[in-house]
This record gives sequence, structure tokens and C-alpha cells, in this order.
Amino acid sequence: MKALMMGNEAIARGAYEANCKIISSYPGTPSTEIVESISVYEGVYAEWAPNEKVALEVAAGACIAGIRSLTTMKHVGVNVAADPLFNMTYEGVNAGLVIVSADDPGIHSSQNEQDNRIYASHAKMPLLEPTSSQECKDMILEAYEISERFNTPVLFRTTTRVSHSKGIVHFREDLAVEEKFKTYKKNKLDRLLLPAISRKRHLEIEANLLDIQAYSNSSPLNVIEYSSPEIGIVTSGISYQYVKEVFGDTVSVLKLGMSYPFPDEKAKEFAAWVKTIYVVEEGEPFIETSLKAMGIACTGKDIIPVCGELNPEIIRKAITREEIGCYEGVNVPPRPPRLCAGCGYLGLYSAVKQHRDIIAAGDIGCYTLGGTEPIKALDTVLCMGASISMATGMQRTQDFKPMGKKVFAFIGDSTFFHSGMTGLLNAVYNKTPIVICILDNRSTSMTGNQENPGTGRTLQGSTSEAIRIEDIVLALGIKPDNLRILDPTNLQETQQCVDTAKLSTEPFVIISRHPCELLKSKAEPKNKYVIDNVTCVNCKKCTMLGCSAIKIVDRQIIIDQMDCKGCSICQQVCPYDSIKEA
Amino acid sequence: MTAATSIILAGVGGKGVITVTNVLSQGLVALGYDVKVSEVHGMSQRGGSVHAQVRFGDKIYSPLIEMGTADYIVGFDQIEALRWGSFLKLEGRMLVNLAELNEDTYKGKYDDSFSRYKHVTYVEGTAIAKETGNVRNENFVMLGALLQALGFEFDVWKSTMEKYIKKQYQEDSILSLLRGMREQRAVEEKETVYEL
Repeated sequence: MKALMMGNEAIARGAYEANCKIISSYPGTPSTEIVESISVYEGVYAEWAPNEKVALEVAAGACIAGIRSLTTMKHVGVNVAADPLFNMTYEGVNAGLVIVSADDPGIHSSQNEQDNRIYASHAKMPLLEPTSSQECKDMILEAYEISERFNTPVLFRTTTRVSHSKGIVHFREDLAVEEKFKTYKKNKLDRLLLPAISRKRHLEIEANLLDIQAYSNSSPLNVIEYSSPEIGIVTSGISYQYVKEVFGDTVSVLKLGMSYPFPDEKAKEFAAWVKTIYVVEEGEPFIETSLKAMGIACTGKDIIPVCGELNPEIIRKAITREEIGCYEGVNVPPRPPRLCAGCGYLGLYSAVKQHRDIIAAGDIGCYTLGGTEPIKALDTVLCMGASISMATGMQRTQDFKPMGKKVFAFIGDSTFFHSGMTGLLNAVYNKTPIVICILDNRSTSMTGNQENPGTGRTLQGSTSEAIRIEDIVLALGIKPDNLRILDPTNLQETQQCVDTAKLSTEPFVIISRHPCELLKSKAEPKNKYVIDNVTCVNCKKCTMLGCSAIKIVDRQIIIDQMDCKGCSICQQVCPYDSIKEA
Repeated sequence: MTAATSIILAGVGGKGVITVTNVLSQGLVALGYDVKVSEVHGMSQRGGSVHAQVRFGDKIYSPLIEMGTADYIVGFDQIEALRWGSFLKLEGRMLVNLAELNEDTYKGKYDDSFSRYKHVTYVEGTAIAKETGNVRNENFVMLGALLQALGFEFDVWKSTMEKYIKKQYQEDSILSLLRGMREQRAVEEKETVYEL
């Protein structure tokens, strides 16, 4: 049986074949599809957790109780899960545990470009790096074997190009997964990470790493492809495919499927065979540093960039200095991502922008786009859940250095559940008078409308009691008088609410509730809006909303009828009554 | 190096680039080729550029196409075709949909930019799709033009279309694909006449 699979789908297939039964994750590009794909296999339990730390802890509990488990996250998600991640090496696993980190070199959809291979060496856990969809499937099976054999979690690191590109995967159709579970042993002292136990465990882990290194040296995951002894290239992950694309079989290659613990013997063997060594790796000089630490001379980051995604062209130019002739490029305007037409965030941002004395701390989600042209309503975006805590810090500076500004935080529903709740608790308990706007669109939109505790449905389709954000807010200590719930497409109400909130001397919460446009895109809106070009004076106030249905064609502002969702926000901002129902 | 054919499909979110990419790549798998596909989407569902790269042949390594090596660029509109222009092989072919651009930022100034490429075929994708009854099928007209340019027969693609397109859209879609193939064939025949 063969199928064209995205790397992420292949990882799901592999985990299924490996008899992994319990999966807990928080969505994040480019990792999301792994969990979505595995959730439809029969006989698995898959859930969306509120954040990556919780997800990893669920998977940790499952593997210790004796069932193979999986957690997947994007690279910055691993930062959230770093606490249990580092300790799981000490805790050990019982049944296998695999942690997928889907890195995003090139920053297609993230806040930064971090190379999570370094987490493996820092946390002292084996690291696997697949180079294709087929390897995604095969190596997950291997990862579980390694995890159980060496009693350690395994970090399985992909990049956007491995996770999201498709290749042919061969697999067994007649799969009868053998349900082999591990026995749970109560109160095995290794699992209590008290100082005396952890000190002992650290010694064991160091010894264990030497065993895993021996395995790494003999494992077919690390393979030398012998060819000409003139040039040798050491590579891993997607870079391997680019190297093969550029050089075919004309150079020798050391392909590292398991790059930590570093296969030192194999590297020596390779170094003895080839004259000149190049290291081709995306991101940090992870392999290069290991080689150099062994005294093996090589060229890597001197010529291969640290920043951005690699491709065959960069590698060709760097090593051979050849360039392929091509047509001169045409400079066309970019099409940056924008909020959807009819998105409720447009109304709230429009109201907030009327105030020049508001500092707006943003967060991670679609509403981050409210920081870009032409909306420009947000001042900062740091990481998942940071808006409320950052706003607290900003507000506190005004005790010392008054700026005459009110600090607002903007956070989505899923992000609030992820890591906003603790920030709100902190603001309330420490009496910091900020305004927290929870942009509740009943969905985790940016990653593709996944469920979250507010939606009332679970990943695998069962219904659940939707958690009411207002209940949480009140429980965290916001006074009922300081809570407003509004529909942001009603501009007047939104405007008044922002005015009231600004004057509050206590922490204040606005829940701005309007369902995500993509959730209801199937239904055609009843009323659409048009611009009366006779009365329109081209003041461009409507274009400043940032609605993608409003366009300038032949120097006239128009509302694209294909895109208009009939939300009426533009009609409400037009000072000349030129926007009317179609 | 192995013989591979590289195709870039470029358009705007929601116009069917990903659907066409799926049909194309699944059909190529059915024909027995090694296939790799790289899609760039994600945030682009919110009106951004979307493009996909498809490579097929005996053995494919890289899912990414190198600059100056694409055999075909299929532009679902002119601007998106131009965005990827320097990825085209000097002998490569561009197939461009003559869709109307409804925003000043993307209009007008770029018409003459196509003169720099050796082989450009304009396809009346939008107009043809309208004739077949569904303006949203311009993507299949473009797929038809591409399949014809690649020298494929329709038969294989019929079954792929039936497998990957929802029942209620199948008839229109297949019709659009056929019209696209026919358009491209007419263009190619004309070219042959000129060469004589």
C-alpha cells in the first residue's frame, strides 16, 4: 500500500502502527495535522490540551502508567513545555514517549526561528530527524523502540518542509496492531524527583547516554553513503534531500537520522574516508559543533546561513559557487495576510483606535494581524499568553513614571485558556488596573478552527460542557461590575464599553464575542453593503478598518460583493452615510 | 541527475490552488511516478498568496524547486505568476489565467512584464469557467491546460477527478478541465503552424 502523505500524516500513521494510544497536544503550525490525522484512527485517544505543558504532562502520565503516548507541538510550544520536558529524562518512561517538535525555519508562521535540536542535548534525550514523509513514518516506530529500550523520552524533530511537504509513503495495509502494554509498578522511587533521587538519576542518565551513543554509532538511522572521497557532506533532516538534489551520488554523505547523542565513531569513519568535509544543516551549527569538538575539520556555518530556510540553490551556491541562469524577477506587491472580511476583531480594534492614550499589548492568534497595516492597533506581541502579564508590567511602570496612558491587553479565547488565565489571576490579585479584552471567536482560528474548552466539542467529536469564559473571569476575582460582554460588530456599544473600561481604577474585563468568520462561511449573509459613489467623498475611513472586502478599484472605493459578509461595521464608521445595504 | 519535472502553481487563497495540486499530485502517483509536493499556506487563508510546488519523475529528492529550474509555472492570476517568474527555466513555459484583478494595487502596471519570458500561454480561464456554468472552476481550466501541455491523455485524470472531487461538483469540474485541455491544444497547434 502506498499513499501520498504529508510528513505530519506519516508521523500519525507511524505512531498508530507503533501502537501509540494516547495523544495530547496543543495546535501549532507546522505540527497541527499530526494530531488531526491520528485522531481519526480507530482505538486511539486523542485530545487538544489547553497548552503544551499540560499536553506533555498528560503524555508523561500515560507512558508511565504503561501505554505508548505522543505529544506534538511547534518549536515555541516546546518552550512552554520545557519544565516537564527536562524532567522527563530523569523520570524515565515505562512505555514509550515521543515528543514531536515541529520547527519553523524561515518563520512561515511563528514568532521566531529557534533550532530545537539544542533542547535534545540540553535535556539529554535522544534526537531523531526524519528527512522525508517515508522516514517520518518509519522513524516514529524506531523512536518508540529507542524510548523503551533506554527508558527515556525521544525528541522527534521535524521542520516545516518535512511536516508540510508530501511524498509517497509505503505502509502495510493489513495492519493488526499488536496491543502490547507495559505493567505499571506503583511507587517506583525513580519517579519521585526528590533531590536524593535526582542526583542518582543524573549519574544514571550520563551512563545511559553513553549506551545510546553506542547505539547511535551502530544504528542504520546514521548511514554513510560512500562515493567519491573528494567531498564529504554531513547532513540531517530536509537538508539531506537538498544535498542529494544538488550532488546526486557525486559526493559522499553522512546522513544523520539520530544526531544526538552524536555518533562519534561513525563520524570518525567518515572523516577518514573523505578529504574535505562540509556540514549542511538548517539553523544552528548543531552537527558542526559536535564534529569540531572531536577535532574534525569541517566547513559549515562559514558558508551556510544560520537564518532562514535552506534550499538546493543556497547549498549549490555555497559549495560549488555555481549559479543556474534564470529570468530577472518582477517586483510585484506582496499580499500580506489580513483579517477576514466580517471578522469581529475589526470592530473592537476600530473602537480602540479612537483613543490615543491606550497602550495595547497583543497576543498570539489571528488578532495579531490587528497590529499590521492598516489597523495598527497593537503595540506589542511577545508569546502565547503574554499580553495580560505584559500589560500588568506596563501599567506598573506608571506608578513611577506616569504616562497618562491606559494599558489594554488583547487575548483570544484559546490563548486565554492556554496561558492567559494565570496572567489575569496575577493582575486581579495584585490589583493592577488594566483592561483585558478577551477576543472570543468560539474557535482556535489561526491554526484552522480546532476545538478548545470554550467550544463545547472535543477533538474526537464528542460534546462537552463548554466552559464559560465569564465564569472563569469572575472566579479569578474580577468584580461583576468590572465585566462587560459585547458584540464587537455593534460599534456604538463597543465604543461606550471601551470608554467605561478606560476609566476603571480596578482590573476590568471586556469579553468581545463574535464567532469566527471561517466557522460560518458556508452561510451566505442576508444583507451585503455597497458604497454610494455619488455621496462618497473618498475620506478612506472605511479602508482604515482593514476589512479585506473593501478595495480601491479605478481609484474608487468599492465593497467586493463576493467577499462582503454583511457585518455592517463599515456602514457604522462612514461619516457621510455613503455605505448602504445592497 | 534524475529527470524530474517541476511545476509551480501560484494563486490567491480560496481560488482552488490546493485542490488542483491535490488532483495533480494524486494523478501523478496513480501513473506510477515518484512525487513530492510542497504547499505554502496557513496564514494565507486570509487573502494571502498561496503557491504549491509539484515535482515528479523516477526519483525525487527535494520538495522545493530551485530558482531557474521550473518547467511550468501555472499562474491563477497574472501577478502571482510573475511573483515566481525567476523560478522558471529559461526554456520553461508559463500558463497564465487572464482573470480580472479587482484591486488597484495589483492592476495594470505589470502587463508588459510577460514579454521577458520565452514561452507564455494566456488562458481565458475565468471566461471559459463561466461558460461551463461555474466561475469557480477556473482552477480546473488551468489544470486542463497544464495537463495538455505536459502531454497527458484525459483518461487517467477522469478517474482521479472522480476520486478527489465531490460528486455534486464533478461534472462541471471535468467539463472545465476538458475545455482547458482543448484551449491549450489549440494554442499548441497554432504554435506549430507559426514554426512552419
